Amino acid sequence: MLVTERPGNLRRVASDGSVSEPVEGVPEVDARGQGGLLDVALDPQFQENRLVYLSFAEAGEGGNGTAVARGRLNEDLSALEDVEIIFSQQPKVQSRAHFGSRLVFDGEGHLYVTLGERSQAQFRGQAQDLDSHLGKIVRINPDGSVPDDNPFVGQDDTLPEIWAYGVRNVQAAALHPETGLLWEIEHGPRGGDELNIIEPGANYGWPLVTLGVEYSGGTIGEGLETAEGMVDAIYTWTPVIAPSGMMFYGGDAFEEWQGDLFVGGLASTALVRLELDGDSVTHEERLLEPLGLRIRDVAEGPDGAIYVATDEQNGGILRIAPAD
Amino acid sequence: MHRYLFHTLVASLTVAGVSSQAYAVEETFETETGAIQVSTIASGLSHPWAIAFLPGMVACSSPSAPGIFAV
Repeated sequence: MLVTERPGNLRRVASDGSVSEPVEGVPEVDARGQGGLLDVALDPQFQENRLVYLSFAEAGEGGNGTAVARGRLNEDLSALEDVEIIFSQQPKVQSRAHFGSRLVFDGEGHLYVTLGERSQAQFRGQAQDLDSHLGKIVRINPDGSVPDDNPFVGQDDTLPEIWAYGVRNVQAAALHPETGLLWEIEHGPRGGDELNIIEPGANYGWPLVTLGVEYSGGTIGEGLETAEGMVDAIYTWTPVIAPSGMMFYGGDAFEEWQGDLFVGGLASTALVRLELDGDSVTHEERLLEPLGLRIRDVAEGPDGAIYVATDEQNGGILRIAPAD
Repeated sequence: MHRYLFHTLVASLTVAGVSSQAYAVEETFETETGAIQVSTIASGLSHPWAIAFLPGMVACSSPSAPGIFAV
Protein backbone atom coordinates (compact mmCIF):
# COMPACT_ATOMS: atom_id res chain seq x y z
CA MET A 1 0.00 0.00 0.00
CA LEU A 2 0.95 3.61 -0.40
CA VAL A 3 0.90 5.77 2.73
CA THR A 4 1.27 9.53 3.00
CA GLU A 5 3.01 11.06 5.98
CA ARG A 6 1.89 14.60 6.71
CA PRO A 7 5.46 15.97 7.05
CA GLY A 8 5.89 15.29 3.35
CA ASN A 9 6.82 11.71 2.55
CA LEU A 10 5.03 9.08 0.51
CA ARG A 11 6.02 5.53 1.44
CA ARG A 12 5.15 1.96 0.62
CA VAL A 13 4.16 -0.43 3.36
CA ALA A 14 4.56 -4.11 2.63
CA SER A 15 2.66 -7.02 4.10
CA ASP A 16 5.58 -7.88 6.36
CA GLY A 17 5.27 -4.44 7.93
CA SER A 18 8.35 -3.06 6.30
CA VAL A 19 8.25 0.62 5.42
CA SER A 20 10.08 1.83 2.33
CA GLU A 21 12.30 4.82 1.89
CA PRO A 22 10.35 7.87 0.71
CA VAL A 23 9.05 7.66 -2.84
CA GLU A 24 10.87 10.33 -4.82
CA GLY A 25 9.18 13.06 -6.80
CA VAL A 26 6.66 14.24 -4.21
CA PRO A 27 6.14 18.02 -4.40
CA GLU A 28 7.40 20.24 -1.63
CA VAL A 29 4.68 20.67 0.97
CA ASP A 30 3.93 23.32 3.59
CA ALA A 31 3.96 21.04 6.62
CA ARG A 32 2.90 23.47 9.31
CA GLY A 33 -0.13 23.13 11.51
CA GLN A 34 -2.64 20.89 9.78
CA GLY A 35 -0.82 21.21 6.48
CA GLY A 36 1.53 18.88 4.70
CA LEU A 37 1.19 15.87 2.46
CA LEU A 38 -2.41 14.78 2.74
CA ASP A 39 -4.44 12.37 0.60
CA VAL A 40 -3.30 9.83 -1.95
CA ALA A 41 -5.47 8.21 -4.63
CA LEU A 42 -4.79 5.95 -7.57
CA ASP A 43 -6.13 6.67 -11.02
CA PRO A 44 -9.09 4.39 -11.88
CA GLN A 45 -6.91 3.15 -14.77
CA PHE A 46 -3.83 2.86 -12.59
CA GLN A 47 -2.86 -0.53 -13.94
CA GLU A 48 -2.61 0.97 -17.41
CA ASN A 49 -1.32 4.48 -16.69
CA ARG A 50 0.25 4.15 -13.19
CA LEU A 51 -0.95 7.65 -12.24
CA VAL A 52 -1.00 8.59 -8.55
CA TYR A 53 -2.73 11.72 -7.20
CA LEU A 54 -1.63 13.57 -4.08
CA SER A 55 -3.26 16.43 -2.22
CA PHE A 56 -1.08 18.70 -0.15
CA ALA A 57 -0.65 22.11 1.41
CA GLU A 58 1.08 24.31 -1.14
CA ALA A 59 2.93 27.50 -0.26
CA GLY A 60 2.62 30.41 -2.64
CA GLU A 61 1.87 34.07 -3.06
CA GLY A 62 -0.39 35.20 -0.27
CA GLY A 63 0.16 32.21 1.99
CA ASN A 64 -0.83 28.65 1.24
CA GLY A 65 -3.66 26.49 0.06
CA THR A 66 -4.58 22.99 -0.99
CA ALA A 67 -3.20 21.66 -4.24
CA VAL A 68 -3.32 18.40 -6.16
CA ALA A 69 -0.41 16.84 -7.98
CA ARG A 70 -0.24 13.75 -10.09
CA GLY A 71 2.67 11.67 -11.25
CA ARG A 72 3.47 8.33 -12.78
CA LEU A 73 4.70 5.68 -10.37
CA ASN A 74 7.75 4.06 -11.89
CA GLU A 75 8.14 0.32 -12.32
CA ASP A 76 10.09 -0.32 -9.15
CA LEU A 77 7.71 1.89 -7.15
CA SER A 78 10.54 4.14 -6.01
CA ALA A 79 9.57 7.43 -7.65
CA LEU A 80 6.82 9.53 -9.14
CA GLU A 81 7.77 10.78 -12.59
CA ASP A 82 6.38 13.53 -14.81
CA VAL A 83 4.82 15.15 -11.74
CA GLU A 84 2.51 18.07 -12.47
CA ILE A 85 0.22 20.25 -10.39
CA ILE A 86 -3.30 19.78 -11.73
CA PHE A 87 -5.18 21.96 -9.24
CA SER A 88 -4.25 24.84 -6.95
CA GLN A 89 -6.77 26.37 -4.55
CA GLN A 90 -7.28 30.12 -4.88
CA PRO A 91 -6.93 32.42 -3.12
CA LYS A 92 -3.98 31.46 -1.00
CA VAL A 93 -4.28 32.80 2.54
CA GLN A 94 -2.29 32.97 5.76
CA SER A 95 -3.52 29.98 7.71
CA ARG A 96 -2.23 26.66 8.97
CA ALA A 97 -5.65 25.08 9.25
CA HIS A 98 -8.52 23.56 7.27
CA PHE A 99 -6.99 22.26 4.07
CA GLY A 100 -9.55 19.51 3.51
CA SER A 101 -8.60 17.47 1.46
CA ARG A 102 -9.84 14.15 0.20
CA LEU A 103 -9.57 12.86 -3.35
CA VAL A 104 -12.40 10.73 -4.73
CA PHE A 105 -13.00 9.56 -8.30
CA ASP A 106 -16.64 9.70 -9.30
CA GLY A 107 -16.97 6.53 -11.35
CA GLU A 108 -16.92 8.46 -14.64
CA GLY A 109 -13.29 9.44 -14.45
CA HIS A 110 -13.75 12.83 -12.77
CA LEU A 111 -11.95 13.69 -9.58
CA TYR A 112 -13.59 15.33 -6.56
CA VAL A 113 -11.35 17.38 -4.29
CA THR A 114 -12.63 18.65 -0.95
CA LEU A 115 -11.29 22.07 0.00
CA GLY A 116 -11.29 23.64 3.44
CA GLU A 117 -12.37 27.21 4.17
CA ARG A 118 -9.06 27.85 5.94
CA SER A 119 -10.68 28.41 9.32
CA GLN A 120 -10.18 32.04 10.16
CA ALA A 121 -13.17 34.37 10.43
CA GLN A 122 -11.79 36.96 7.99
CA PHE A 123 -11.95 34.54 5.05
CA ARG A 124 -14.03 31.52 6.02
CA GLY A 125 -17.13 33.33 4.74
CA GLN A 126 -15.78 32.77 1.23
CA ALA A 127 -17.30 29.30 1.57
CA GLN A 128 -20.45 31.06 0.30
CA ASP A 129 -18.69 32.85 -2.59
CA LEU A 130 -18.62 31.14 -5.96
CA ASP A 131 -15.56 33.09 -7.08
CA SER A 132 -13.37 31.49 -4.38
CA HIS A 133 -12.19 27.93 -3.83
CA LEU A 134 -12.41 28.23 -0.06
CA GLY A 135 -14.98 25.92 1.52
CA LYS A 136 -15.78 24.05 -1.70
CA ILE A 137 -15.89 20.67 -3.28
CA VAL A 138 -14.56 20.82 -6.81
CA ARG A 139 -14.86 18.30 -9.63
CA ILE A 140 -12.13 18.22 -12.24
CA ASN A 141 -10.85 15.99 -14.98
CA PRO A 142 -7.71 14.00 -14.16
CA ASP A 143 -5.60 16.54 -16.06
CA GLY A 144 -7.09 19.42 -14.08
CA SER A 145 -9.42 20.70 -16.77
CA VAL A 146 -13.08 21.38 -16.03
CA PRO A 147 -15.81 18.90 -17.04
CA ASP A 148 -18.42 20.50 -19.30
CA ASP A 149 -21.30 19.27 -17.14
CA ASN A 150 -20.21 20.90 -13.88
CA PRO A 151 -23.12 22.87 -12.39
CA PHE A 152 -21.65 26.37 -12.64
CA VAL A 153 -19.98 26.12 -16.04
CA GLY A 154 -20.70 29.19 -18.14
CA GLN A 155 -21.95 31.39 -15.31
CA ASP A 156 -20.40 34.78 -14.73
CA ASP A 157 -18.12 35.37 -11.76
CA THR A 158 -18.00 31.75 -10.74
CA LEU A 159 -15.24 29.19 -10.75
CA PRO A 160 -16.38 26.36 -13.02
CA GLU A 161 -14.56 23.70 -11.00
CA ILE A 162 -17.04 24.12 -8.16
CA TRP A 163 -19.34 21.15 -7.62
CA ALA A 164 -20.79 22.13 -4.23
CA TYR A 165 -20.19 24.87 -1.67
CA GLY A 166 -20.66 26.03 1.89
CA VAL A 167 -18.50 23.33 3.44
CA ARG A 168 -16.10 23.83 6.31
CA ASN A 169 -13.28 21.29 6.48
CA VAL A 170 -14.00 18.02 4.74
CA GLN A 171 -11.46 15.36 5.63
CA ALA A 172 -13.68 12.39 4.85
CA ALA A 173 -15.35 11.59 1.53
CA ALA A 174 -16.37 8.52 -0.44
CA LEU A 175 -18.63 7.53 -3.28
CA HIS A 176 -21.80 5.74 -2.27
CA PRO A 177 -21.53 2.32 -3.88
CA GLU A 178 -25.16 2.16 -5.03
CA THR A 179 -26.22 5.74 -5.76
CA GLY A 180 -22.85 6.91 -7.05
CA LEU A 181 -23.29 10.15 -5.12
CA LEU A 182 -20.47 11.69 -3.15
CA TRP A 183 -20.91 11.52 0.62
CA GLU A 184 -18.70 13.62 2.85
CA ILE A 185 -18.15 14.20 6.53
CA GLU A 186 -16.83 17.52 7.73
CA HIS A 187 -15.44 18.83 10.95
CA GLY A 188 -17.82 21.05 12.82
CA PRO A 189 -16.43 23.81 15.01
CA ARG A 190 -17.35 23.16 18.66
CA GLY A 191 -20.09 20.66 17.95
CA GLY A 192 -21.79 19.97 14.67
CA ASP A 193 -19.69 17.46 12.72
CA GLU A 194 -21.80 16.76 9.64
CA LEU A 195 -22.48 13.85 7.31
CA ASN A 196 -23.70 15.27 4.00
CA ILE A 197 -24.84 13.81 0.71
CA ILE A 198 -23.43 16.03 -2.00
CA GLU A 199 -25.68 17.15 -4.84
CA PRO A 200 -24.24 19.19 -7.70
CA GLY A 201 -24.53 22.91 -7.19
CA ALA A 202 -25.89 22.60 -3.67
CA ASN A 203 -25.06 24.85 -0.72
CA TYR A 204 -24.29 23.16 2.61
CA GLY A 205 -24.58 26.31 4.64
CA TRP A 206 -21.25 27.01 6.33
CA PRO A 207 -20.71 29.46 7.99
CA LEU A 208 -24.31 30.68 7.91
CA VAL A 209 -25.81 27.41 9.09
CA THR A 210 -24.23 25.08 11.66
CA LEU A 211 -25.14 23.04 14.68
CA GLY A 212 -21.87 24.05 16.31
CA VAL A 213 -20.62 27.15 18.06
CA GLU A 214 -17.28 28.97 18.06
CA TYR A 215 -14.46 27.32 20.00
CA SER A 216 -14.90 30.21 22.42
CA GLY A 217 -18.52 29.24 22.88
CA GLY A 218 -19.95 32.18 20.96
CA THR A 219 -22.66 31.96 18.35
CA ILE A 220 -21.55 31.62 14.74
CA GLY A 221 -23.27 34.19 12.54
CA GLU A 222 -26.92 34.37 13.44
CA GLY A 223 -26.86 30.91 14.93
CA LEU A 224 -29.02 29.36 12.25
CA GLU A 225 -29.44 25.59 12.38
CA THR A 226 -31.22 25.38 9.03
CA ALA A 227 -32.06 27.77 6.22
CA GLU A 228 -34.00 27.83 2.99
CA GLY A 229 -31.87 26.92 0.01
CA MET A 230 -29.22 25.22 2.10
CA VAL A 231 -28.97 21.48 2.49
CA ASP A 232 -29.08 20.01 5.98
CA ALA A 233 -26.78 17.23 7.09
CA ILE A 234 -28.30 13.75 7.30
CA TYR A 235 -26.44 13.03 10.55
CA THR A 236 -24.44 15.09 13.01
CA TRP A 237 -22.21 14.68 16.04
CA THR A 238 -22.13 16.92 19.11
CA PRO A 239 -19.71 16.66 20.81
CA VAL A 240 -17.57 16.22 17.76
CA ILE A 241 -15.81 13.01 16.78
CA ALA A 242 -13.35 14.96 14.60
CA PRO A 243 -13.94 12.90 11.46
CA SER A 244 -11.18 12.00 9.03
CA GLY A 245 -11.40 9.27 6.45
CA MET A 246 -14.45 7.25 5.53
CA MET A 247 -15.29 4.08 3.66
CA PHE A 248 -18.40 2.18 2.64
CA TYR A 249 -17.68 -1.42 3.52
CA GLY A 250 -18.41 -4.02 0.86
CA GLY A 251 -16.10 -6.87 1.71
CA ASP A 252 -16.70 -10.50 2.56
CA ALA A 253 -14.75 -10.67 5.82
CA PHE A 254 -17.49 -8.96 7.82
CA GLU A 255 -20.80 -9.99 6.29
CA GLU A 256 -22.85 -8.18 8.93
CA TRP A 257 -21.04 -4.93 8.13
CA GLN A 258 -21.67 -4.94 4.41
CA GLY A 259 -23.16 -1.59 3.42
CA ASP A 260 -22.07 0.08 6.64
CA LEU A 261 -20.19 3.36 6.62
CA PHE A 262 -16.94 3.54 8.61
CA VAL A 263 -15.52 6.86 9.73
CA GLY A 264 -12.19 7.66 11.32
CA GLY A 265 -12.30 9.76 14.47
CA LEU A 266 -9.40 11.88 15.71
CA ALA A 267 -10.54 13.45 18.98
CA SER A 268 -12.88 10.53 19.57
CA THR A 269 -10.04 8.02 19.02
CA ALA A 270 -12.67 5.81 17.44
CA LEU A 271 -13.47 3.98 14.29
CA VAL A 272 -17.14 4.84 13.96
CA ARG A 273 -19.45 2.30 12.34
CA LEU A 274 -22.75 3.62 10.96
CA GLU A 275 -25.60 1.40 9.84
CA LEU A 276 -27.59 2.91 6.99
CA ASP A 277 -31.07 2.61 5.60
CA GLY A 278 -30.97 4.46 2.31
CA ASP A 279 -30.10 8.05 3.17
CA SER A 280 -30.62 7.62 6.91
CA VAL A 281 -28.25 6.55 9.66
CA THR A 282 -30.04 4.00 11.81
CA HIS A 283 -27.34 2.99 14.29
CA GLU A 284 -23.86 4.00 15.47
CA GLU A 285 -21.17 1.90 17.12
CA ARG A 286 -17.71 3.10 18.13
CA LEU A 287 -14.80 0.71 17.73
CA LEU A 288 -11.17 0.88 18.90
CA GLU A 289 -11.83 3.70 21.38
CA PRO A 290 -9.87 2.05 24.24
CA LEU A 291 -6.68 2.16 22.17
CA GLY A 292 -6.71 5.95 22.46
CA LEU A 293 -5.32 6.39 18.95
CA ARG A 294 -6.37 9.16 16.57
CA ILE A 295 -7.86 7.46 13.52
CA ARG A 296 -6.90 9.48 10.44
CA ASP A 297 -7.96 7.26 7.56
CA VAL A 298 -9.83 4.03 6.92
CA ALA A 299 -9.80 1.74 3.91
CA GLU A 300 -11.03 -1.69 2.91
CA GLY A 301 -8.27 -4.04 1.87
CA PRO A 302 -8.48 -6.46 -1.01
CA ASP A 303 -8.72 -9.20 1.63
CA GLY A 304 -11.89 -7.65 3.09
CA ALA A 305 -10.11 -6.61 6.26
CA ILE A 306 -10.36 -2.99 7.41
CA TYR A 307 -7.20 -0.92 7.63
CA VAL A 308 -6.77 2.33 9.55
CA ALA A 309 -3.97 4.86 9.81
CA THR A 310 -3.25 6.28 13.25
CA ASP A 311 -2.30 9.96 13.35
CA GLU A 312 0.55 9.94 15.82
CA GLN A 313 4.18 11.00 15.80
CA ASN A 314 4.89 7.28 15.80
CA GLY A 315 1.80 6.38 13.87
CA GLY A 316 1.00 3.14 12.17
CA ILE A 317 -1.35 1.00 10.18
CA LEU A 318 -3.77 -1.31 11.96
CA ARG A 319 -5.54 -4.25 10.38
CA ILE A 320 -8.99 -5.25 11.64
CA ALA A 321 -10.23 -8.74 10.85
CA PRO A 322 -12.71 -11.15 12.38
CA ALA A 323 -11.25 -12.90 15.43
CA ASP A 324 -11.07 -16.63 14.96
CA MET B 1 -17.55 -2.14 26.61
CA HIS B 2 -14.67 -3.70 24.85
CA ARG B 3 -12.73 -6.37 26.63
CA TYR B 4 -9.01 -6.64 26.47
CA LEU B 5 -8.09 -10.22 25.70
CA PHE B 6 -4.51 -9.55 24.88
CA HIS B 7 -2.14 -7.03 26.29
CA THR B 8 -0.90 -4.25 24.15
CA LEU B 9 2.72 -4.74 23.41
CA VAL B 10 4.74 -1.62 23.82
CA ALA B 11 8.06 -1.44 22.10
CA SER B 12 10.45 1.33 22.96
CA LEU B 13 12.46 2.84 20.19
CA THR B 14 15.37 5.14 20.56
CA VAL B 15 15.80 7.43 17.61
CA ALA B 16 18.55 10.02 17.55
CA GLY B 17 18.83 9.84 21.30
CA VAL B 18 15.18 10.64 21.84
CA SER B 19 13.18 7.92 23.47
CA SER B 20 9.81 7.36 21.95
CA GLN B 21 7.28 4.60 21.89
CA ALA B 22 5.66 2.74 19.06
CA TYR B 23 2.68 0.64 19.94
CA ALA B 24 2.33 -2.78 18.45
CA VAL B 25 -1.31 -3.57 18.99
CA GLU B 26 -2.40 -7.20 19.04
CA GLU B 27 -5.80 -7.29 20.69
CA THR B 28 -9.22 -8.80 20.41
CA PHE B 29 -12.27 -6.63 21.00
CA GLU B 30 -15.87 -7.58 21.35
CA THR B 31 -18.24 -5.67 19.11
CA GLU B 32 -22.00 -5.71 18.70
CA THR B 33 -21.64 -8.20 15.87
CA GLY B 34 -18.78 -10.38 17.05
CA ALA B 35 -15.14 -10.33 18.05
CA ILE B 36 -12.53 -8.54 15.96
CA GLN B 37 -8.78 -8.92 15.91
CA VAL B 38 -6.81 -5.68 15.71
CA SER B 39 -3.17 -5.95 14.69
CA THR B 40 -0.48 -3.41 13.99
CA ILE B 41 1.01 -4.19 10.61
CA ALA B 42 3.33 -1.19 10.41
CA SER B 43 4.56 1.41 12.85
CA GLY B 44 7.05 4.22 12.99
CA LEU B 45 5.14 6.31 10.46
CA SER B 46 5.09 10.06 11.06
CA HIS B 47 1.47 11.24 11.13
CA PRO B 48 0.20 8.99 8.36
CA TRP B 49 -2.69 10.78 6.66
CA ALA B 50 -3.93 8.45 3.95
CA ILE B 51 -3.57 4.94 2.64
CA ALA B 52 -4.17 3.56 -0.84
CA PHE B 53 -3.91 -0.06 -1.89
CA LEU B 54 -1.90 -0.85 -4.96
CA PRO B 55 -3.71 -3.33 -7.18
CA GLY B 56 -2.64 -6.77 -8.15
CA MET B 57 -1.46 -7.93 -4.77
CA VAL B 58 -1.82 -11.47 -3.54
CA ALA B 59 -3.75 -12.26 -0.40
CA CYS B 60 -1.65 -13.66 2.39
CA SER B 61 -3.14 -15.39 5.41
CA SER B 62 0.08 -15.97 7.31
CA PRO B 63 -0.23 -14.70 10.90
CA SER B 64 3.23 -13.28 10.63
CA ALA B 65 2.34 -11.38 7.46
CA PRO B 66 -1.39 -10.75 7.46
CA GLY B 67 -3.09 -8.97 4.64
CA ILE B 68 -2.00 -8.48 1.08
CA PHE B 69 -0.05 -5.75 -0.69
CA ALA B 70 3.07 -7.81 -1.10
CA VAL B 71 5.16 -4.83 -2.19
